[in-house]
Amino acid sequence: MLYRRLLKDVDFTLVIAVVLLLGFGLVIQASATANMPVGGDPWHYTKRHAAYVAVGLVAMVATMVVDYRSLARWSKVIYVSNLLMLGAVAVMGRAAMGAQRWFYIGSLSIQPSEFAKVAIIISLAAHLSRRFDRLHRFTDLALPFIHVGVPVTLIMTQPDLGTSLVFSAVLLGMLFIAGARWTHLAAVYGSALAAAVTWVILHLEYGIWIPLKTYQLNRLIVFANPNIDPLGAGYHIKQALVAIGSGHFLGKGLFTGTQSRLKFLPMQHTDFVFAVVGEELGFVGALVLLTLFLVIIWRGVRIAAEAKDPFGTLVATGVVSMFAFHVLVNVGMTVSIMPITGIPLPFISNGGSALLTNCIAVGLLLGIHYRRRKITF
Amino acid sequence: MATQPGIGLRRRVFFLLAFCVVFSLVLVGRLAHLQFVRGAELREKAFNVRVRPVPIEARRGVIYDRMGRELAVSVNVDSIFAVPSEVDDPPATAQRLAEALDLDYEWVLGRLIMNESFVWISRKVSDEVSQVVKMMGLSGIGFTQESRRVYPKGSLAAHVLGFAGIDSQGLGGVEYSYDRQLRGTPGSIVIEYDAIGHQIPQAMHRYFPPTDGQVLVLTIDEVIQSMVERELDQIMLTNQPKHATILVMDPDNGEILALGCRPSFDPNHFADYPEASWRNFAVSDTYHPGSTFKPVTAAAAVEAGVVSWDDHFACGGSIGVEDRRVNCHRRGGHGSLDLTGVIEYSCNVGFVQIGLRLGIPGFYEYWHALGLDSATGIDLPGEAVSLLMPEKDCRPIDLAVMSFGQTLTVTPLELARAMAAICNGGYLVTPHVGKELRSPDGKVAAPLEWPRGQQVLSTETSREVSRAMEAVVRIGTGKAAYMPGYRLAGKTGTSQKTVGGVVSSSAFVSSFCGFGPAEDPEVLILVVVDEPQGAYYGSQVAAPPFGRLMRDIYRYLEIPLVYSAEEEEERVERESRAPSEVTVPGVIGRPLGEALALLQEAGLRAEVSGGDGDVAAQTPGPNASVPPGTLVLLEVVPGGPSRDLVVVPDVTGRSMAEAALLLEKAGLLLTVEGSGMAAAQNPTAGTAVAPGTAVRVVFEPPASEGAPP
Repeated sequence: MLYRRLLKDVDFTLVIAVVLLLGFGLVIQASATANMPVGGDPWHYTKRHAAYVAVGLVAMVATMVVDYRSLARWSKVIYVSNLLMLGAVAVMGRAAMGAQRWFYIGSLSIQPSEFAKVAIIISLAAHLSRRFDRLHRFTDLALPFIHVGVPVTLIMTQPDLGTSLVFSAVLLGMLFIAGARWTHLAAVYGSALAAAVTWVILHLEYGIWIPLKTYQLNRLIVFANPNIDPLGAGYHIKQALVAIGSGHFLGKGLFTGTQSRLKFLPMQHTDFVFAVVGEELGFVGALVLLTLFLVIIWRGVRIAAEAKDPFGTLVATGVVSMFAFHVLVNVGMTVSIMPITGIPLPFISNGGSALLTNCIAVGLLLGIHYRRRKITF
Repeated sequence: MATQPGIGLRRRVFFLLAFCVVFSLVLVGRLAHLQFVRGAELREKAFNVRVRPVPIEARRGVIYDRMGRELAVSVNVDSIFAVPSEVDDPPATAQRLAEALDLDYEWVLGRLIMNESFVWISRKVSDEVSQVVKMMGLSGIGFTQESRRVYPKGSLAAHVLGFAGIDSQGLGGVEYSYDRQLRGTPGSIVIEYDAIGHQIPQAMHRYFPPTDGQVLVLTIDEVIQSMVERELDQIMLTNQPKHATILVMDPDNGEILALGCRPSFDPNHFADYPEASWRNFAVSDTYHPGSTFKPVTAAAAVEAGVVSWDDHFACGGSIGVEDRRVNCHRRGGHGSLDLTGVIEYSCNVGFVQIGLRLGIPGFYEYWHALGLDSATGIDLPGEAVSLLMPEKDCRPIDLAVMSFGQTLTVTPLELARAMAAICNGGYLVTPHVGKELRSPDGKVAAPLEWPRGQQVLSTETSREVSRAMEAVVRIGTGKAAYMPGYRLAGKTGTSQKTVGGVVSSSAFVSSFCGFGPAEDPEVLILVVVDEPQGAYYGSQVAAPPFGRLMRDIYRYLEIPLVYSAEEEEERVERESRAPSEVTVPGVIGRPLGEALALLQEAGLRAEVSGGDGDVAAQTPGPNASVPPGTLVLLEVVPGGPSRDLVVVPDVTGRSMAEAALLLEKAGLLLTVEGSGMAAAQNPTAGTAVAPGTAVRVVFEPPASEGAPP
């Protein structure tokens, strides 16, 4: 009975796409980190990644089984404990690569800003579901912005520009689906963008304070002109382009990409993992990967549309927005049509917290689908 | 009642999906552009970013003297480098390297932790040092073979050879002027590296072999060069001048047979010497030629036809030019002299008259014709050019003074070339030191072409002025260089230096320029001694080295002696008084004391080198027929039966400093009496005495010659 229901109500297309992505990620991780042995073990990073995949799959199933509607009732608790986590990491988290993002429990490092993505999606969905299709006035947008603004401010202080941008994308997507007028959204986001650009320019010209580190600013400048500093700030983007471009149609083959294996390509197993795909598996590999992501987005959008209640719709929308933003921005920066913002590629990039968060997010989608509106009722 | 998402929702959700799809298509388009349109370019970039050529030095060509004797060679030596990222323990490694290589610890450590893939630690180290470092087996430290320039003859011909720097680049002398040919073309190994600079094992290596440099054969003759070096050393010892230079040239074709300068340096360790010692005085500096210039004035006037050999010139001790009086060096004047006499006695008043007849335009015309206003074109770097006052500013008084070589300056090389034209039949040759270039294996030779140049003086003028200059040496001011049968011609020069615009009464340039045999010269020698201390007349300072060099070069080049009728007579007379020839006894293997006794018995003099012991070699050899009183050179191996005694060397004719040096070398003490040149000594030369014996030497001032400037 339960078995039959599973067969009927679980979105296997989504499950297959995610499993394929996780496998894809594992193989690419093995290739990208083979030249980075830890303690003589070239498979150190691969093994760790495999462990995260296993944990992630368990978390995905567990999340699916829990009735997502109970999360709406716990949304305030989730929201507040999330703020506490972010505040804690701001105070006592350890710095890594110029950013204070990690939290250590024993030897395990936890990145609360990753989990914050799911936490905010849930709490914002609970908040917006009460105002679904009643966001016609401009002032109706104030509360949701404050709701997201507080945790984003905490994350900005880490500083983690990329994750902050993820939240604004998620907020945009959820507000749009919740019925906010697109003119209002365009006005807010447009003026925010204009203000940000003005701020950066004022900073560069007149030295006005800005909550960005030098390397973050440099990335923006380099995006505007990649040739300005080919060995410094522009180095990443140059090497990534060379890696992708040299891949041609079928790529150089796994474990043979010269750019990544010879350490020309920085962060080849994290933010720039897509360049490894492009170099070693070529256009075909990149296309397969993008298609798998589109499948997830397509299924997510479908789940949002078929959800039983606005809360489900909004949670699904948040998850889809999050994935879409990650994929589009990460791939976009690797092929240099977006600035470098340090956003990992879901399921593929190395990083346990992100992988776990993404699996939980997929679990949410599966759970919403499992409990969708039944035509037969 | 939960709000059911309505139809509006479906549209919005569709919009969201559409946005994602469109954006994905943009990404795919960009990917296609990168991978297909720009793929080839980016793939090329991916290759170039990881290969790096490592240059391999070409072996620098050998430099030979004209007889094929090595003057500069290249030997393979190790250079030590580090790959910082592979150095395990930089402080410890730096410590050991600094000790072995005698380097500063901090400096070595600094290089070992540099953010570079490759740094030199020490270039071109000795074999022993390299072995020591190799034995250490330090990680990240590597060795590569480079070639180092070695000058086996030390400072011999240093100013001609110049030197090559650490990257085998010529920095002076022919090493510089023939750098392109000597250097060859470096090869390279192209090695694939990763981003951090690690060499990739089994990765692409391409080897482009270097082309070794060409071989250079010089016109320099090592034997003549060493004679020149010997005379220069002697001049420095005796006269302590600021500079000295001797130039030996074949006047027929401009080949420089020897060229030496003092102060000098050892090109093997050129950096240890002051830069001033690298300067080639003969090429790069001008000096006051003084009277050595007079033959130029004479030749110009004869060639221009303004004087003839029968003309007489009156000298009353001085001559008025414009409102000034020009004095002759002889107070009472020379009386009436013909042209030969004017040259013979170096009469200033006579030359003023000759110069005035030549006139300002004539003087400038021949100044130009004899190449004194232009570089000689020698194949050595840094050639200077003399400067003469502009013709339009020249007044008769200036011409008068320049006619006997005062106030004007030339480079030694320019004067030598002008003198060569005077003696070689009138041709303006190009002085040069490069004879031919050969392929690296020495098989294919390409002679360097040196045009003989224009004829600027007629053959008659050349012959006549040469004849007059021969008279200078035979009976005139150059007597100090006279030797019967040598037919030497030349001119002394003593000029006061202009120090800070004022003519100095204490700073002189003593010089001698001459050639021989006068009728068909084979050798031209210029000796210039700048600011000698003590004696300063050219006849005292520069003529004796000139004579000694000519004597030795004649013997070495086997130039036959030709006696004039007068000389023949003297010789016959002298020989009738004494046995014409004696036979040299064989003394090789005998104890020194015995050998000296034998030689004395035979009426020969002896000069001993090597201290004390058994005679190892003698020159001339046994049974040679030589005139009585000939000097026999004995070389002694130390440790013979007579080792308790030393032989007193012959110091007569030597300066005090030289005598002291010779005696010191023999282990004896000098007791001085008088001043000047050594005239007598007790015990006499050849006596065997106990080491530490005092030798009393009587010095006398050299015979006064009343030598004119």
